[in-house]
Amino acid sequence: MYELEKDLGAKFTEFAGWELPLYYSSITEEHLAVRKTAGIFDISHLGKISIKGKEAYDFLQYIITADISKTLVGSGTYTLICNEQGGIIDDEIIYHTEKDSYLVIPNASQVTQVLDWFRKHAESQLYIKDLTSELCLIALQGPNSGSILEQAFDERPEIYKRYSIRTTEIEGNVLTIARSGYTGECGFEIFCRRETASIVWERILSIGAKPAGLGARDTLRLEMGYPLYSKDLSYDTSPIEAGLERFVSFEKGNFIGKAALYKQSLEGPKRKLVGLVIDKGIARQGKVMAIDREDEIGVVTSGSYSPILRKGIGMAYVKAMNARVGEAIRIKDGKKMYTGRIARRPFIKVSSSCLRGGC
Amino acid sequence: MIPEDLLYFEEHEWVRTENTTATIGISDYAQNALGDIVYVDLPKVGDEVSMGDTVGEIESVKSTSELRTPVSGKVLEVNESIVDTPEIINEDPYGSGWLFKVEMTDPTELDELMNAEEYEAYIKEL
Repeated sequence: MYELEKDLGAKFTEFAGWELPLYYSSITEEHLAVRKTAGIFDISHLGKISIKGKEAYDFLQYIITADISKTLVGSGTYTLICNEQGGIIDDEIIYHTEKDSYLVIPNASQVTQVLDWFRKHAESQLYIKDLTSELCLIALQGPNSGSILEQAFDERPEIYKRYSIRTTEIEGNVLTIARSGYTGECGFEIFCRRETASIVWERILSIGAKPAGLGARDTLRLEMGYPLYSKDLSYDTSPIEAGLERFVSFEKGNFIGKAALYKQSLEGPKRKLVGLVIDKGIARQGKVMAIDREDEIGVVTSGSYSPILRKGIGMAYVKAMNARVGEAIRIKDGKKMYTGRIARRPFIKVSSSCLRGGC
Repeated sequence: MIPEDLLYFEEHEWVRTENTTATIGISDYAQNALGDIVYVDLPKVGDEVSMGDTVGEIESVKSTSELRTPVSGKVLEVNESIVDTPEIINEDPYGSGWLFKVEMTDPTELDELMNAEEYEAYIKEL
């Protein structure tokens, strides 16, 4: 894949030990292609952990925050994994691929931590295997994804609901396709063995998706207000603070972190993750926010640019009492002072339906 | 893409001179390294600036970098059209993407700048 991407003019960056395309032509061009037509990303760096066995369901219910009792074979769910204190170890999608068989997709930076955490809590008979380097993962995202999927793999897009997953074949090679993504658009993520990846990549490219890099992946997710692990989520933050309580099920029975999270949910978090729109410029990660010059209320965790709004946007943890949409804020950066407002997330409206734009 | 008729500063600004007026922009190498430029903060007309001073800022999606003046003098004019459409700097860094003009007070400073050949060698080293 590296060679294919290099030939397309990719500029690479190092991330979690992987050499990944940051962008090919331009971050904003790739961003806009995904919003208007379709883009293709190599996201093989994402973790892929297979969990199998009769105990898999009970194990996962105990180790993750979401309830997977309604996650039937062929579907998936978004969840968090927390420690006893309610701190976030990782956030991921979990797919129920077959009976007693699940596929967990951790962030690239957290694969080792998640594997260690699973092995620490698993009974010895549970099968846990890291497939990260064996499997490639290619994301097709944008309003045209459905029609491209149909043309490239003869798969009907309308049978896929959000997080649906199914297996098909291409030239005798197995492909596993999930309706998923991190852009807010209609999209699919395609798992395949390394030797099949170039076939998948070339087929999608030839039908007409723009190759897109990690740079656009970041601006796309930020425009939707999706938090990113290691920036907006960490061991020091909880799902309650991050506004992800709907992915924490207090009804499903015991799970790691339940007591701490329940307490926080009842009492209300001390700080909250909010969206920011900046009047001029980009207030980047790590900058301190204030209501006025003296009163510090929080810290920016993600700061970049929205090619759709043509404005600097970001996310920040602020004191709960200040977490009001519309609140004017200032952000200090040395001598410079940015002004802006707390804004609703997502920052833009998109139709994630796969049925528009010819899908 | 390094035009022969310009002079270059080590911080990747270029200078085009006409009598004592210097037009300043950033090089193709610089715009390419920055990627999509989304904000430009320019000096004000009338500002007195000295060679090497930070006179503004250029922000791209990925990073922020300082804009320095390669010559000393008084700012005569700034390119207002790029404030709303900074992508022009990416598209045409040596033409319509120019940034500001300075009435030079010390044209001998130009001797310290690089010519195209020297600048080409300079960016190869980076």
